[in-house]
Amino acid sequence: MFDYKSEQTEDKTVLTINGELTIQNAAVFKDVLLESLEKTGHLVLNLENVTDVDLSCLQLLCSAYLATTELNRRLTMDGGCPEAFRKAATDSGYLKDEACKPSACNKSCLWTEADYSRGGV
Amino acid sequence: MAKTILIVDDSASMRQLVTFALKDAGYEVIAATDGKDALNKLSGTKADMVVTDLNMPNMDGIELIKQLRSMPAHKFTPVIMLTTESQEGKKQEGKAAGASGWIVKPFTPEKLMEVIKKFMR
Amino acid sequence: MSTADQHKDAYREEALELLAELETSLLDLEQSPDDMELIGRIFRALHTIKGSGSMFGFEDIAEFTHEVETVFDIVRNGEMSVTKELIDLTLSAGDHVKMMLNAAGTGHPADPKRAQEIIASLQKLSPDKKELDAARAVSSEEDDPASLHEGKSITCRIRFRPPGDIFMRGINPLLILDDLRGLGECRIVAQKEEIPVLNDIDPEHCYTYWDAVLTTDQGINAVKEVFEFIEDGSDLKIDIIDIIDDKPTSSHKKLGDILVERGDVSPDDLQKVLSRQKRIGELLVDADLVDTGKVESALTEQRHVREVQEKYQRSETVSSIRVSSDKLDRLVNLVGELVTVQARLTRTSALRNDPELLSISEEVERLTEYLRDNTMSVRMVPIGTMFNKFKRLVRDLSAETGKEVEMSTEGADTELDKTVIDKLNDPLVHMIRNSIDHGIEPPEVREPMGKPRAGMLHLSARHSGANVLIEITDDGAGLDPEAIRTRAAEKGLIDPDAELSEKDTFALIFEPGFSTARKITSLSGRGVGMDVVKRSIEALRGSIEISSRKNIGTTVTLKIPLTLAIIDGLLVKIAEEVFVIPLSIIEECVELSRDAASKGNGRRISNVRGEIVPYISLRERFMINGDKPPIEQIVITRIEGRRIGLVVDHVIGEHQTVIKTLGRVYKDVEGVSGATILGDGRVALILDVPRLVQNMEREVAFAGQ
Repeated sequence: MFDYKSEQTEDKTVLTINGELTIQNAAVFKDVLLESLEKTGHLVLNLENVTDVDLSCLQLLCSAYLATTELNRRLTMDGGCPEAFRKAATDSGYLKDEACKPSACNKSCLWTEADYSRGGV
Repeated sequence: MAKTILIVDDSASMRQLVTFALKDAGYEVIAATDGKDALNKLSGTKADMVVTDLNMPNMDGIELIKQLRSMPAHKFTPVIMLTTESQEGKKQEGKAAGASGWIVKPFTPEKLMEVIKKFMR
Repeated sequence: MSTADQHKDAYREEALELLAELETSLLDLEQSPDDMELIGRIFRALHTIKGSGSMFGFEDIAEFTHEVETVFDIVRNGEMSVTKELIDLTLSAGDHVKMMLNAAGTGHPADPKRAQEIIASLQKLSPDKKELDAARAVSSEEDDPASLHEGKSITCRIRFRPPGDIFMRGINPLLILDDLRGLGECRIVAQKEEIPVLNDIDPEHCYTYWDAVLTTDQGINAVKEVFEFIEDGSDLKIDIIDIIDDKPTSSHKKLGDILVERGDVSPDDLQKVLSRQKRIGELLVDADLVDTGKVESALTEQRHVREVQEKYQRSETVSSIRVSSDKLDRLVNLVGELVTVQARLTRTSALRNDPELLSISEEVERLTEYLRDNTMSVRMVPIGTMFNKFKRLVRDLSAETGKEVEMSTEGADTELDKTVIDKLNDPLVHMIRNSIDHGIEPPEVREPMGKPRAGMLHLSARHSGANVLIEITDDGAGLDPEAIRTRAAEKGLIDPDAELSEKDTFALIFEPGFSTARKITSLSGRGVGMDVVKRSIEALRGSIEISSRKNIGTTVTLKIPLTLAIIDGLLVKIAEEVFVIPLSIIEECVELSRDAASKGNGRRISNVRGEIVPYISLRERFMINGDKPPIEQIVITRIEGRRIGLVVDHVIGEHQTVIKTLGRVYKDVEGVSGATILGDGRVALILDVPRLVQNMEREVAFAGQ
């Protein structure tokens, strides 16, 4: 199961994903992300109702984050952090205690524990 | 919800043994006698994993793997092949076709579970 | 029919079908020897007979068919042509498999010579047999030098880059990482710098790779096995960077050194940056010599190695503290009291039905259980300390008797409660003396019998459920059942005409006053016989058994519970009386309706899913008045390999039982091994089920006479 809802407000787009963020849905997820990013300067992701997360989707989020910093836009997370997401981020070694700071990420990152537990970036 | 495993083998006793072991471990099991039968049985439902013999009449295991990988629903499904020591070449063919792993016959139910757990939890 | 038998039958049926198919195909092949379809069908039939054969317990068939299959594999690959001879041989091979199938289970195996003949003739036909064999021999001789590190902890550095199409192969890389973590302390850093921006990313491709540092005691092969199915196509590098032996060998490396070792930075570049003084990681990133993911991973490794070493050193320093056993005994008593009070708390809070109190009580229950287990484990000592003391004893005894004795031990690290070990000392000394004095013969007797000069005395200990089995084995003269009978009859222990099983005969030597020693030595046979041994073992809630064969030797087996102080018990109720049955011997509880009880015609036998289980009515055994409920419960226990039921009114539930010994007044009450205090302050008796069963058997035997 995978579906999404996109809500456009004045200053941001809220993209709510439901269901399985896994390889089976990776292609669709990429298109949804691309489409949403084109429309807005600030993309807010709500993953509260995501039930399953795998590596393919972590890669896509990372990639989307790179894109937003390149385009000088913002990507943030809203809502609660689902257990599935926390687990995948930890298991994959994506989450870390110290931020990696590739120049492309503009001194911040989607995967720092501190930012991530606050639910934003 | 219990995961579903499709077992494909032309040997009735082998199907019986594997089915018994898998059901015992709490999986739903679909059994098919060869590649063709397997594809037929998958046309209405979806399997979370496929365990297949290689030497079978009508459609062998290698062809089945190739077919599965070309189907959107089973592009990413773990496929375990049952091989024997003398089938090194077949194993390579299977890997090239997209098999996830293999079990060398003869095997115990414990070994079967061990390998299954490597691909699906 | 058991499941295994069902599987076997299914196999037999299928194999017969396949053999019929094989025959038809072979006959067809004779007509058209180039038909690849037919050859394929024959190969598949052989292949299935072989593959399933060994899985269903027909190893001989699998082995035999393997040889035939090998030949047809060569035919299938076009390296050998079909001849009449080949078809003849294969047909007779099929016949032979049929014979093997029919012979299986009859105890008269098919003629193995025939199998050899067929295989030999087939091999003569096939060309490359020798080369094949040579190739196989080489591959099986490969010995992995890495297994040298087995038993020691190793720390390895792993870089794992899965093939880009890993998702399309149905493999979830996160599960591989999970398996790696399962091997020991593990840190994993994902390297993400190859992930392209969203426009360019192929969502079904894997761009991530990982650096991991793992400390494991499972050996390097276990680490390699994690990557078993993904090795081809992966970029995988596993280096052992530390072996934790007696002393940690290397101190943790400097960050720069780690990066150079991994080949992420060249030594020259490192030197250049080092000349400027800032933190090395930042410097390297600033200078664009390496990306942050690499530094992160190197930092992780540095931290990991440091922590593992620190932990190891810490564990070295705290590994032993001496405590007097008095203090431990006091501790155990206190825990015992605590368990009793906790049971009261649980009961009270259940009555009050106050959620807050309930949650506190549950917490206390959990902690008490931990405390109990921990305290018990503190009192556990390896039995080896006692075994070692016996070495001296054996040496002295062999000098005194002029017999040569070699003592060996096994399972010296098996742990038992300290008090139990102390109490085992005397009985074991007695039995070792017996073995050397009565069992093992002098060298001049042994040699003509073809036995080695030196007698063998073997002590072993191993766990078996909540018990420890201790065995004393010698290869001496063994017990002579006839001599025991005569002696027992002389002593008036048995009726001279009594018919006794071997087991019962041997059991006679535990009777008070029994001794078969022809002469009285300073060592044993002083009238204090095995009855004393038996009594001390039973005082430990243990049991003793002897098996022996004349001139081959004797084995005495002691079964001793792990601990004396606390057991897990099942509370049962008969009228208003509450009893405790040790949980370790209980297999299941079933209902006994009055109907079923009356069907037994007064015989104490119940039918549990088709199995006949005898039972004892505790109500009758303990002469408790009052009416039986319409449906009684049978608690089914396993005693010495047999299932025996105990009939009670109600089963109340599990109870952590602190064993209080009964006073001297109750010493001779049979079937009760102690008492415990329940949560409401009442006393419940702990049943000695093996003794109850013995008594029942004795009564039945009398009734039968």
